[in-house]
Amino acid sequence: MKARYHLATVSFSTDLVCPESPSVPIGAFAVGETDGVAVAVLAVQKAPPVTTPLPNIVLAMLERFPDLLIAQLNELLQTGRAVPVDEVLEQFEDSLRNSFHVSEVRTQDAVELQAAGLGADQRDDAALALCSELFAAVGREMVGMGRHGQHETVASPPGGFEVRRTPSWVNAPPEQSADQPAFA
Amino acid sequence: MLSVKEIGARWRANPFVEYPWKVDGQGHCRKGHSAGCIAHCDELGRNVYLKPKAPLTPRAAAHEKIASDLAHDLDVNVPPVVLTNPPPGWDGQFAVCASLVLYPFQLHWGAAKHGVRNAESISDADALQETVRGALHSDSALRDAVLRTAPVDAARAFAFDVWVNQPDHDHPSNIAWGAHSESNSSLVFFDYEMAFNTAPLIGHPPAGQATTVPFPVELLQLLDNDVLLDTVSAIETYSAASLRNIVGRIDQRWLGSSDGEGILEVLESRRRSLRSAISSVMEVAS
Repeated sequence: MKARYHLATVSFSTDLVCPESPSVPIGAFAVGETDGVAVAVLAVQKAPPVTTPLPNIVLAMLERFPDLLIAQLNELLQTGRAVPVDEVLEQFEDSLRNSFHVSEVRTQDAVELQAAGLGADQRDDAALALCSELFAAVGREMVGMGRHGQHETVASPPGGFEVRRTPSWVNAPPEQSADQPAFA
Repeated sequence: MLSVKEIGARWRANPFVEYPWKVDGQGHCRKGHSAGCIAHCDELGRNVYLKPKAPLTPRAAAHEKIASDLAHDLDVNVPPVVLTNPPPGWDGQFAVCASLVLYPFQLHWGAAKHGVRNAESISDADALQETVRGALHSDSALRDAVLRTAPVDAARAFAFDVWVNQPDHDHPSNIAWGAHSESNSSLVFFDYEMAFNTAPLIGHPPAGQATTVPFPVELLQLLDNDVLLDTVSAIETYSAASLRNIVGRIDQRWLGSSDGEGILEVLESRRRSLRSAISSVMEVAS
């Protein structure tokens, strides 16, 4: 069973006006699909490593950021139609172009998944396996954000991170073409 | 660092200014049709948003400049824009503009309203309160900050958008809530690349069919009517000579003369019907 997913790094600009102001990675978002089943996972640092003093209003927004994004994604999924993962990523990027922004996107095209047989049916199995892969992907990304200076000490972000997932949804399996391997 | 007022005045007076742009630090290209990016230069000491690397229309930068200059004169919160040289690496694209970044913190209205593209209200009851509450929970300071200037900002922008035939403010990225602090924030309106609608645009009705323009439902419901009518009056009485100067002074590398004449025709004809178009929208909204 092969999965395809996008992994996006979410960053926060501490001061959009100032050229010297840093853009700090604060989270990771993954959305993927296998066998027509799709799911999205979001991880955000609970205490973003921002040393610049910020107004309370911005701190409050940072605190609510995971809720806001998950709510947006859920709203997108409530349209009652299949939502391709590329479209989910596009919507996600579209909603993050200012202080919060997507700073990098990587795509994994054919990741092998192992179904554990824990789901109620084959589709449920696929969703669980995909979820597990996406949790691992955002987890690796978040741990990577804990690297400190030149020592590259790998550690979790100081305040830990919060992980959310959307319910899985069903898309039509991608059509097989002659020059493109089928998801199996 | 120059102030927004200083830069705004300089850019209003000069359609083109050359700067030694640097693209680094925060300068990664952001998502968007125009593939713009954040840039800066020592002389300004502030960030700008440079666009378009990949224009939807060949007149994109000129449209941004004209809209910004008009907005400046009408006190609509559109960032100052100047036509400028491209940054290093933008080979083959010379018709570029810079839009000044105004606020240290900016959140898209689409995010603030807790919605997605083209979504109308997500609430079945009190749309405004529910959407703001949905995004900002019970933080009354935050909610109040968003709502403090929104009726005035949105009223000015809506009248302006109808005039310039802005088709792109149903997109969540093109309106932002910008904040310096809790007590100093505003709605700011971006991206007039597709305004003036003198040519068919993908996914939008042609100019002749449009009496009004897409605008977030939540904002339409809270417009300050007095400010709206004042802005309509200001547009109706705006100097025709200034209008011609703003459009006519743009170099033909950014805007051909026949395109400029087309824009002037759109602006003159639309302001004649502006009051009736706005009235029909307000009747529906109420």
